[in-house]
Amino acid sequence: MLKGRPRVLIVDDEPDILLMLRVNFETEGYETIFASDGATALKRIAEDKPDVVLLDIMMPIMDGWGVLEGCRSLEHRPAIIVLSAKAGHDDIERAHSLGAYEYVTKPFDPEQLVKIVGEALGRA
Amino acid sequence: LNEDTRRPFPAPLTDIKQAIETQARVAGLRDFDRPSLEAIDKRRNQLWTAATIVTISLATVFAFFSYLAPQIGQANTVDRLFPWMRAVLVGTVAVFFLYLLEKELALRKLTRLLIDERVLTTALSNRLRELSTLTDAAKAINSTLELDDVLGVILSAALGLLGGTEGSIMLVDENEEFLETYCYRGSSDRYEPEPRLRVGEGVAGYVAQTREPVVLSGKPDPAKFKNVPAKEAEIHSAMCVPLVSRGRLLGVININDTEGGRDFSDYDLRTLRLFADHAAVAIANARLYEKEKEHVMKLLEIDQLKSEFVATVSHELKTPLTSIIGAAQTLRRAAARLDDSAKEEFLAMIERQGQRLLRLIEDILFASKIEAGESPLKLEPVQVAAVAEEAFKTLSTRAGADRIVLDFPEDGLPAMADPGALQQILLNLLDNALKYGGEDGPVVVTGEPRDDGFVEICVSDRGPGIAPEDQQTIFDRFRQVDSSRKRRSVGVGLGLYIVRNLVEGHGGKIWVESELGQGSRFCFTLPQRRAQY
Repeated sequence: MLKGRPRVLIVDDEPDILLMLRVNFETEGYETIFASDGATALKRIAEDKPDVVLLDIMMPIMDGWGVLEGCRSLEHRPAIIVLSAKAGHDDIERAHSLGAYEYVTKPFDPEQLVKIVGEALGRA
Repeated sequence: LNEDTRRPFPAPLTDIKQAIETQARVAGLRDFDRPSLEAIDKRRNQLWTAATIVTISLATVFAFFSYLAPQIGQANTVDRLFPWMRAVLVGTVAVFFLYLLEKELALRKLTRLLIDERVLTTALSNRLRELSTLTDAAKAINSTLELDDVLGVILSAALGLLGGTEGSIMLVDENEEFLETYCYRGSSDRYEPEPRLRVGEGVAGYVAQTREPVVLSGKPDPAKFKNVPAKEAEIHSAMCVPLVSRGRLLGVININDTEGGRDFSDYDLRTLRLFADHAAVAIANARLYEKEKEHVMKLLEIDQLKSEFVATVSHELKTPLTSIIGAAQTLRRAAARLDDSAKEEFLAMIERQGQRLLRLIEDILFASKIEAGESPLKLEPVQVAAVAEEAFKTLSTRAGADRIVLDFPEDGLPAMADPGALQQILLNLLDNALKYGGEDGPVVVTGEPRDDGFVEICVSDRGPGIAPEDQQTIFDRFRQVDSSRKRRSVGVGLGLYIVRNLVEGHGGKIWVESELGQGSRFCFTLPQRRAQY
């Protein structure tokens, strides 16, 4: 990585999930930034240019689908990993069709998630 | 029996046909197996011509012998011959006129028979047409259960069979107060259906009130029919029959002629009554079908709500579990790399989310108890302000709890309430306000007494607000505001439903005042403390 520590944007309206993921990714050497709604997430993506986005779907103000759609037109597009409690086929397909790198259902194993993020970065 | 069924027409008509043949033979018709009224006329003319010729010839002969013979001096000869001749002539004339009489009588009988036959044949073919039209109508009733279609078919069939320029089916409302045109067919575009008629007014109203069919020849008589509408006054002739099923009036069927081309008879009325019977059955069936359909739709909706409930609950359960499982796994695998404060934070997180999970499960149980009507409330005198303080303390560890502002009157707002239930109401409303009421801005709890024996408590936020179309359903069970609308999305499913039920359990009301972008204000009422406390 050219710019040193890879940057992960964590988007979730649950403060405890933000906290849990922050600790996990920071101990693995990532730089973490946060957003608790879709609108803020889009702003962070545009301003801070994260390498990976961990994105919740059900959020107030703007949901994860809105964020995925907002990212489609971006030139520098981060790898987006969707984290959702919804496990329906429709949702998974929709996420992939909107360009998500991976769809992870809640609850998840944080270690697994760190691995998936590593893969996403390696591929990029 | 076989011979009977092979007969193309019923016996009387066959008899008539045989009689016609016999009489035609007697009358001396050439085409005696297929006589017509024209042939009878022709034959009668023939006979009269013959009679005239015979009469003139005889008169000539008599004149000759009476006046000419004496003049030519042959009187003696004539005198001798005359008695003989007279006898022969009178005899011939008598026979001839008897012959004429027989033929004439036969012709008369034949005429009558032919008319009878024509009447019978016409009646038969009419009956056949009527039967086939009714069969078509019956088929239509069986092929479709949509009332519009069925009544349209029945009306068109009746109009086609009976003639007339327009027809309508009017249905009566539940209170049997008004008739409303449900279905209209008209061959003339000069007239519009009378849309609404009070029972008892006009011809249709009269029929609806008395349940007595009416055949009208000429304009309606104002002495009999009250307040005849302008349109009905245009009628030239009309029939109107009530639609009755199991003793209940459903409406009326009208067939009108507005151009004077058709006069209706009692026979036509009888036919219209057959159509009316069909229409009544169709309406009764269709109503039953509608009711059944409504019932099924309701069941489907309940089913849909149940599925939504399962989806909501599983989502709600997975959210705290994500934190709990994530924190536990991190602690177990990466404990060595975590500092003490992080470990402490994770343990607190597990506890906090565990508590949340427990509360959620209790909420679900509580909701199902409410559903089953098993949640008795114990109303006692409380200070709403004190209960609100308790709720605030419970929430104090939550992020953003410092935004909560309590604003109560000095007496602490006394009311009658179940303290546990009231706390749950306030907790749920505050929880929602903190979660969905925007990032910043105060969450204000206010309370004041009202004039109607209730106190009103409101929780206001400065969040994104709730769209008017969602304000009605937000208190329904497990109903969430559509997340694709990018406003309130999750978690309100159970909470507000419980809140509504608790408030209503106190005899109070709950509502929301909100405008998009202007924040929301959830208000509810509780009974005031009674004087003796």
